[in-house]
Amino acid sequence: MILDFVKNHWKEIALAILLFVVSFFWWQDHRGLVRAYEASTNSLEERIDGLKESYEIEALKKDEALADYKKQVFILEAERMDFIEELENRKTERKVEFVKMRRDDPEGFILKIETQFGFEHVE
Amino acid sequence: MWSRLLFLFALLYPSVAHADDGKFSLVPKNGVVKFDATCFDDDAMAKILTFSEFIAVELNGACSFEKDKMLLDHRLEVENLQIEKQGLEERYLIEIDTRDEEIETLRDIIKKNKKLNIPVVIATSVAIGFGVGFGTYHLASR
Repeated sequence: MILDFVKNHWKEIALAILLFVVSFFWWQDHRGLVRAYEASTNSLEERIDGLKESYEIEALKKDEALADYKKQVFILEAERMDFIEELENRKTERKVEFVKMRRDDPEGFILKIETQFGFEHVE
Repeated sequence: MWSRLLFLFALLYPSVAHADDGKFSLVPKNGVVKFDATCFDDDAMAKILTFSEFIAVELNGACSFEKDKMLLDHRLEVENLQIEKQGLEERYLIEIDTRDEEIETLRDIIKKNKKLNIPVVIATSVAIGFGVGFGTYHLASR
């Protein structure tokens, strides 16, 4: 019975086997292409993640550097303010000293002006 | 004669008198000065003297501050450039590593599919199909 069927339809059976084999190899080929696509996609995703992480780390480091810079500038400006304040105090003290010198030691005051500016003293 | 004498006088006149650095006098209250003058009171004079005494210190301080600030600016710039360089190196390595991995995977896939050659596949399939067909036909004919 089966043999009769095969005998009568051997061409169809051969065609079916041929289609099956071709389909199998094409499927394998397609699977290879899908795998290649997946590999590319995975690689790209991995790369994007890595780059994102790298940029984030870079931004963090830059923020840290900027914070450090701001801190140092703040210290520098504070030191500058202290210096100006101290200088102003010294200047005020010196001014008082000069006023006192003018009253108590006119000769010394004259000498000071002469040496400081090179002016000639006239009696 | 007179003009020669005048010329000689002009030559011999002390040059110091012309290059006068200035005069000053300590004037008491209601006092009179012997020359045209600008009068400062004790406070103003003390301020002028103090100013001239401290100007160098003040400017040195300002200079030093600006220099330090510029140094900090440049240091930040250099640090940022170093960070960028480090980041670029890292990203370069990431690119290279992931591409290497991708290439390796693709190589594996190609290696697995190496035998796949469509004309050969078709020819083989046709041959197998015919073989199986004829085989079954002969078997069925017996």
